[in-house]
Amino acid sequence: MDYRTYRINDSITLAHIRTDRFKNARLSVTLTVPADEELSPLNSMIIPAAFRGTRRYGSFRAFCRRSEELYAAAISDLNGRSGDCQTVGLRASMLNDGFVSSEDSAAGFSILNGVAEMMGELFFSPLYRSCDLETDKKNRIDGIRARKNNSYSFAKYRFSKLMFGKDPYGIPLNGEENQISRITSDDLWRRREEIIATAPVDVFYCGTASVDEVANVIEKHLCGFKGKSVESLPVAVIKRADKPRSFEEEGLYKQSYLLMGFRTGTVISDREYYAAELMNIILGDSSTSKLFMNLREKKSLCYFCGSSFDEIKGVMAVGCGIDGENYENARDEILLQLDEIKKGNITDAELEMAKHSVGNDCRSAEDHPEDYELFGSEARYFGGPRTIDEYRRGIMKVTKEEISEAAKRVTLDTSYLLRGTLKGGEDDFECD
Amino acid sequence: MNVIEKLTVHKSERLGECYYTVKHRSGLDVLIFPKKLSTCFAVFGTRFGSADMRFMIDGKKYRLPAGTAHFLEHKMFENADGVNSDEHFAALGAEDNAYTNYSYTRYMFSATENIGDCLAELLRFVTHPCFTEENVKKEQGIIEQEILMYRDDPYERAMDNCLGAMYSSSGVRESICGSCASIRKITPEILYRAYGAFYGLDNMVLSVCGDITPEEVLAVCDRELPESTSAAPRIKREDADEPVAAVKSRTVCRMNVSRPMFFIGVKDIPAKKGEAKLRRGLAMNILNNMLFSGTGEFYNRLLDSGLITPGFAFGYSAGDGFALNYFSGSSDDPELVFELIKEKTSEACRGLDRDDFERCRRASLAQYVRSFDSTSDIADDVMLSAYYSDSDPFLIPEMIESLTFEELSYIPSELFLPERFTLSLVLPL
Repeated sequence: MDYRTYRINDSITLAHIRTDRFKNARLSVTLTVPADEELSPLNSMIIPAAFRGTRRYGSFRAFCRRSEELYAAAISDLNGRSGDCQTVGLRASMLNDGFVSSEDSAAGFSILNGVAEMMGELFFSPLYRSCDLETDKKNRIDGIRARKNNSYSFAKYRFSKLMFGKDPYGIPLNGEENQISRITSDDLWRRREEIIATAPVDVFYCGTASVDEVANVIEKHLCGFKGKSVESLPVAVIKRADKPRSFEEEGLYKQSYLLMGFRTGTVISDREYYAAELMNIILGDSSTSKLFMNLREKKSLCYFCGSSFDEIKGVMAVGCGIDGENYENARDEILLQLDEIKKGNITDAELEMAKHSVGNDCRSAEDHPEDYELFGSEARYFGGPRTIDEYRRGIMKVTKEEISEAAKRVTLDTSYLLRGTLKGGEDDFECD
Repeated sequence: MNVIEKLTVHKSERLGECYYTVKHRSGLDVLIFPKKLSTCFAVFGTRFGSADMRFMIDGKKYRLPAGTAHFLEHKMFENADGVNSDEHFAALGAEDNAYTNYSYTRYMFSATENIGDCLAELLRFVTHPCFTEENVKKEQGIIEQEILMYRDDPYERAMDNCLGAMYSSSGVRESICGSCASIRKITPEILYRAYGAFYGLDNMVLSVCGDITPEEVLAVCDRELPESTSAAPRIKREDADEPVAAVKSRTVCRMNVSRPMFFIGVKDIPAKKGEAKLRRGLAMNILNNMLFSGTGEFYNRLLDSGLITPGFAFGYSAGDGFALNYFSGSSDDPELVFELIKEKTSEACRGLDRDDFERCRRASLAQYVRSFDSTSDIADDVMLSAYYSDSDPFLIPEMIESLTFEELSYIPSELFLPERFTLSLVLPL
């Protein structure tokens, strides 16, 4: 697919893919702001709160009705991370305009234009009514309290806080209860204006519309942003962990979760990046990984186990759901398998399977335009490979020795066990 | 006769797509949906789900421990040579997986190269079981952890408890994975018995979507599958003697949750296999959107008053021998939400809004077109409607257009009866 970027104005960069492969088009608008303990909860509410009403669409119901008229277009807010920054904005999936009825088409009806218009309303014309805000705050506080409802999510939340502390990665983007309860409509207004005045904006489009058609709807509905585009985003990287830290907490769950965080000493812009990617796949990021084959298949210690590599921050996390009594056993097995890679104990089959897996992911990216969006962003802001093909070629050249060297740079930073204190598979708290 | 000559072609002008169906000489139903995307997705499914716990073969009754279908799915990946099929797929650059639900089990892969070899591996491993005392015992530890994972999930618990309370003897009373106690009863013999009963090729279907031709798919079937249909056992599922009303109207458990969670079920009489089943699902989708979606007054009133959160969900689910409409979410006052939902459905019994109907039907048609962009969704959806509902998925738009306001208006008064409702609550400790 032909992925190109264009500068629309000082604020907006458009990444555009023109293709008729899909019935659906995708449009996203991403604003990048620093992740900050005080401001991130506010940043996270700017768009969701706007869905409760804008000048043109006075209520959430009016938005839903308009989405339905736009041939069931789906528009949702986004709230994520990019390096040490927070990304907020909107994403939409909609039918390409070629699918509108002949009557609508004759009347000049365009789904893309309609979706961009709704996005413009959400960014530039929110109402932020106090009564709506109070309901939103209540729901948000409930969401924060509900972190404990899902034991694995709760374990990941606690693990991130403990491993990263005050680092932006340790900041929960949705904030904490006391922060949300203090937010007022004025706070939201002020913060929204600051963001619109300062944040660089990335627009991604994939569909049948030409770059001129997309640029036109941006200029018509989304040109109120005043921030300046940037060439890179900040990220603080710790190459090596000083001394492993170990934490254990208890929770009223049946299963326990073990999470281990490692500093890899490698980030996406490094020459060794490709070797580190393969190391992670071989260790725990596939159904034939060393962790899957040993921790699960040979030792029956868990149903779920895996590793993930954050190539921007240079950290790798391993997680598994276990019986708390098997904690030491599972932790030792994870470290043992990592040591095997450090020693160069990688079979030809493991290497080939890992490379095949990357090759498959690269080819299947053509069916997933969002992969191009992510890839483009990582290349632009963090110095990653410029194209998916460059990434694939880099991976294919990696040797076992390079993988072993990449593993040798890995140091354990934090181990965290959320120990489930409820025993057995049967019910403990049934009422009837 | 050349097998290609037996292909039935199904075309959709609206979508600009076509797919093929054929009964392979082995007895297997094969669906092929050529699609010019990079990823090819294939799913090999059998009509054997976790609810199939009681059945008869040649008049003899069999009982399976809860969780057998799911356990069997886990064990199918083991091969006689000791190499797991995951490794075979990985060596081919493919990703494989499997799922079990109440009514069927599905094995699948997605790949961008070596499609023929992947297809051969899929057919091979699902048709060659290898169950031993050792590998069954080993799997019990893994599945126990899976069971505990789901038992820590309050949504899963609320849903499982609701089904357990609604039904009197249907297999959907038991959770799909079974319990730690029930899976300990599973032996290689039980797995072979279940396999022999339900994994005959004439009880299965292969659905493939990707840049592939029917000839290529059928060539692999010819190589990997028997030349003729073997005499399949005559399975008779024991029909559960299910009352129309829910057995219990309420069930409660306590878990480590921040505030009450609810799962409300409304028991429906399941349509038999075929067009009626599909039509009921489409009608309920439109009706639910008319009454409970964000475009309606009800959802927004409850959201604005703080009674529900944006996580409020609703839908219609049906399988062999069961069907229900459901609502789920969290609320400080779930009993009031329950009463308001019942009140809304009573109101619907007195009449629906014709404009809402037209609007939701139009959106439903757009959703249908939007669903044809992913090879995995297509392979799965085509299989579900063509095989399990015995209906051509390309006729769905016509079916949606043929649904009338009068037809939908009749549904609330026969479905939303007080005795059909069950409220399942998960309360904080």
